[in-house]
Amino acid sequence: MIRTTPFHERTNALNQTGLWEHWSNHLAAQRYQLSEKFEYFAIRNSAGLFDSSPLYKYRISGPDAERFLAGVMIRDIRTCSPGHAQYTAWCDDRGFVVEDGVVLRHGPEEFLLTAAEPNLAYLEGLTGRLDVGIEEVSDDWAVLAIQGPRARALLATLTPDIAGLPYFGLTATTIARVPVTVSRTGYTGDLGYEIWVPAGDALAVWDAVWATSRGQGVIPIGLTALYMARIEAGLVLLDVDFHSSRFAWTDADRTTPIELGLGWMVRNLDADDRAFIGRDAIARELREKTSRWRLTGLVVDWRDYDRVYGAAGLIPPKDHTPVHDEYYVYDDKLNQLGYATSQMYSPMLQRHIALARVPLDRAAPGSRVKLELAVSHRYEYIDAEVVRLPLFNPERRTA
Amino acid sequence: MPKTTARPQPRPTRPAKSGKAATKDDRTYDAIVIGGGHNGLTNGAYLAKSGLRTLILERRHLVGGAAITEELRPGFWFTTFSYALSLLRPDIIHELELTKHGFMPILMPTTFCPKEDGDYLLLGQDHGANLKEIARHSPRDADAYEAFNHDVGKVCQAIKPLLDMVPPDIFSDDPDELVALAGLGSHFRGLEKKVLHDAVRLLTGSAADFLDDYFESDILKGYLASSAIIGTKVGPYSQGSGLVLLYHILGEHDGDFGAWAFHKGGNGGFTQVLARAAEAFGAEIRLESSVERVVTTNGRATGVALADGTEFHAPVIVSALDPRRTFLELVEPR
Repeated sequence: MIRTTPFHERTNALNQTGLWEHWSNHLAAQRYQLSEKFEYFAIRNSAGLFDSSPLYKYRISGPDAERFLAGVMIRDIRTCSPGHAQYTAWCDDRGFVVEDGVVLRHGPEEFLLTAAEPNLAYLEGLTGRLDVGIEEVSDDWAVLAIQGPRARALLATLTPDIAGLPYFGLTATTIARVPVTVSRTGYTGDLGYEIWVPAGDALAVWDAVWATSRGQGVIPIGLTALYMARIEAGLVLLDVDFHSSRFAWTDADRTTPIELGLGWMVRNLDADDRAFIGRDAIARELREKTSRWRLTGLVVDWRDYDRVYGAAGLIPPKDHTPVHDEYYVYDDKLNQLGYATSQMYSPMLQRHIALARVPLDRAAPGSRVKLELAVSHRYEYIDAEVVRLPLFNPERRTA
Repeated sequence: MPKTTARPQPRPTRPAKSGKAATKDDRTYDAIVIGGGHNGLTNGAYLAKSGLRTLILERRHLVGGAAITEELRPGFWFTTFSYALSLLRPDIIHELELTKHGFMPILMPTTFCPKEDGDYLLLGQDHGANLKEIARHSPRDADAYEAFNHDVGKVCQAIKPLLDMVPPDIFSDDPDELVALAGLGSHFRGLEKKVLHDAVRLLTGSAADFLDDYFESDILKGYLASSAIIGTKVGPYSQGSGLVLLYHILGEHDGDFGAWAFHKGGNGGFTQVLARAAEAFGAEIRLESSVERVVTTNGRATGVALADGTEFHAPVIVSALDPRRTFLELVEPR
């Protein structure tokens, strides 16, 4: 039986479309308005409210919790002091990514890990003799994300504590007399926060956030608008831009963190004395430069795009709907180089953009490739340029 | 040091001139643009981007020309003249990196047309809902609306490439011009007869005449005809209103014909974005600098003189003013 999130009573009343997607067996609004484009612009121009509650959440605690996470996660959790969060990933022994997620460090021995898919058995299987407890708390917490340039000013009217919160900082505070955690995290690549609320108090917190944001252009946003924002931000999505190495059938469907553009997580390996899972393979990949490809941004040459559609007698479509599907990338002689995994027309950038896997010798910004698109029932090869991720990265995101 | 201004600082190789006595060298540029409206700013930004030391001169205390938003009453900002964002060529957004400088279109969610009897026509973002709303006034107008959009879309498709073209000189014997002219001829010959016929009707006839062929409900015709008379002194039955209608439908945003957006902060907000882009590329913008005349040497424009007598010199002088003022007020007849 499909379930609803703790905010459902409010989100259901606001959803004018009746469109819901299924996310980890919960109803998640696809969009609230007839056009998701307004929700997308709310993220970039005012703020959007997103119900992230269906995320999997694990409480990891105990005297050895830090040692456990230091051995499992590829980023060094020891550099994340209490009151901070870390976007991280975990790998298998061969250095392939299992999943990515955010670790919130509430205290020296108290952590919360988010994940897109169930990981309890996997994590428990790695505890060995460490004194660490792992508890699934997915249903205990409702998560409300407020994302966009006005997020800070609006939240600060409810809890002034967050005004100085740094990027990926977190703080325990109260909203509407409910004890909550506010973290400066999100999945939009914009200034934004996530409010972690005990599930039973979700509506009181929603109502307070809703009341304070009236007249500010703040609206609830659905999954489609979120996906638009995350593609611009170059944030990868499980089962779209990569697959869990645990469940992939072949190595072609596995990816290393370096290939996935997460190499920055293991940048200081020489100064890092941890023996984390996948370390040897990652070190070898870095040393021997054996990455098979790199995830990068693509920007489609709009003139070539217009030319190809015009020649086919069509008006060039500029569809902002995020497409989570493979589109093949070629060189000038139509040899396949790689493939795009997500693409859309970005209304902010006014260009067609994609996240794509290209070989290392093509990964430098400015490299020219061709993207295969079906135009008028045949494949056409349209000029595109490799660009650095993120494609959209406003200063306010980290300022 | 904290930034005191939201504007990016000019590149260090092109320091701002204000605050110290200008030497002759300080008053010599590679290019001077007269007028800081949206055309002058765009032109100046491109000149600066191409590496020319560029000066943009604006008469008023703010840039924007006819695309300005001013605080006319404390706390209330007005977009005085040009108010909508459309027909902005994507090349300009890309090449001048306007997104980086604050480009922020704001879309219109709905169009509301009240009737005298208290009823209304409300069109929004959902195509299916719009057809049902139109059918409430006339069931046959619902699919007629589809046919109208399709037919006019075909005309837009035919006309739009011409917007980005420099019109060929039909009196020239330059082979390049003749090739361009031949290309234009084959473009029109390649069009379907109906598209050409519709194009001629819209370019020469009245909007009401065209709309009457499709629709029976006055409220829908009234809504569509409003685009045919905005900014003009003609009525929907006047000749020429068809062209105004077509021009408004040609207005495109994100690939949708007939879609018009606004800009954050009004159209003045948009020209501020253009100004930031121009300055980031190194252009210098001088406000309250009314150009009195173009300085000529041996029949060539070599500089400009301001009302206060200051002269600036450059081998390239661009006027972003209208031709009447440019040719009758700024330059002497040869």
